[in-house]
Amino acid sequence: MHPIYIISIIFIIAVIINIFIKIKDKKLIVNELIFWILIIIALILISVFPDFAVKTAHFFGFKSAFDFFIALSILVIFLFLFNIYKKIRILEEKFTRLIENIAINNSINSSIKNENEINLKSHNDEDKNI
Amino acid sequence: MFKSDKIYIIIPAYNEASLIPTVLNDLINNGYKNIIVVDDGSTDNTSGIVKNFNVDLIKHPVNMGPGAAIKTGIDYALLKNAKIMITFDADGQHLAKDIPNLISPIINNQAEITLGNRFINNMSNVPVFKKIILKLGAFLMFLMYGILSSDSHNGLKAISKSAALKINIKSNGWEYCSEIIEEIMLKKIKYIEVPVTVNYSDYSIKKGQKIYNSFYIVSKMFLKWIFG
Repeated sequence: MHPIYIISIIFIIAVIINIFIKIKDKKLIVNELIFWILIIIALILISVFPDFAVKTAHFFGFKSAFDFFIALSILVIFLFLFNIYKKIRILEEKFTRLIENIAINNSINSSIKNENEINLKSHNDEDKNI
Repeated sequence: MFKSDKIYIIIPAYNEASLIPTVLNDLINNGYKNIIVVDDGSTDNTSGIVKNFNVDLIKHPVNMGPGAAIKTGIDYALLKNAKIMITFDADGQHLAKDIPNLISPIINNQAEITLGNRFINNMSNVPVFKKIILKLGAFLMFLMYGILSSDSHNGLKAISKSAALKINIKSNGWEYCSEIIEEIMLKKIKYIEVPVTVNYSDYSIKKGQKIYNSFYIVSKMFLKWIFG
């Protein structure tokens, strides 16, 4: 048996265990589940039908299954990166708006407080004069 | 004529305790009374010093960057019903005497935004390497957004209320200057470039945008350009 298939089997077992743990802890999101199921299906296909990877690689114009695997991995990483970048940007924008609101509200509150203090002081001065 | 009480000066400040009194005195002595200082989470006594002046102080609890500080200042000025907002650096690079020329096209309805340009009158003592980087940045802005401004990263700008309501600043860092140019192009905002003097001192060079920071700005601009 080729080493890649042994690695695939170990990886499939690890993923299945991970899924079961997450289901047990009720931490699994549907999208995540779909993603891991697709990975498992792909690995099973490669393991059961060794020619599948080679034929698929040739279909997409790659010389070997390994080249195809590397290119596919880069693509997946790039998609993850894009997703993370978007999420960070959204969070950063929300955080900025939050800081801005806190800063403006604090400034308005302190100016209202100052005005009240000035009004109170002038009131007291008027009372003293009377 | 435009009422001067509708003109607001926005000064983003981060650790500017040593020079901000000079900047505020220059503005106050030139008759500008609506001044908003946005202390961007300074760790020195910037806020304490600003409190001694009759200006509005807004304090970010944490350091967010000049773009976020400008956005906070603009939103606060809009709450105060400002008609024109002027963004002004806290490191002493900008001079109050340039403000009348900057706001004049907005008052005369010739533009909604005026962009200060240090290269038009060549009065600024711009260091050579900085000049090259700024010109390259301006060329990049032209390639990306089609606006040919020779000084896109000048912090001295005047923004009318109508333009401020259209412009959406999302960047927290120095790249907000490029973002304003992008917004001008996308939202077809009328703009004019006005000659201004940028005063380079050892302090302002030390405090201002670093050369290596320009690479960071370019990379962030590209990411935004690609990913939106």
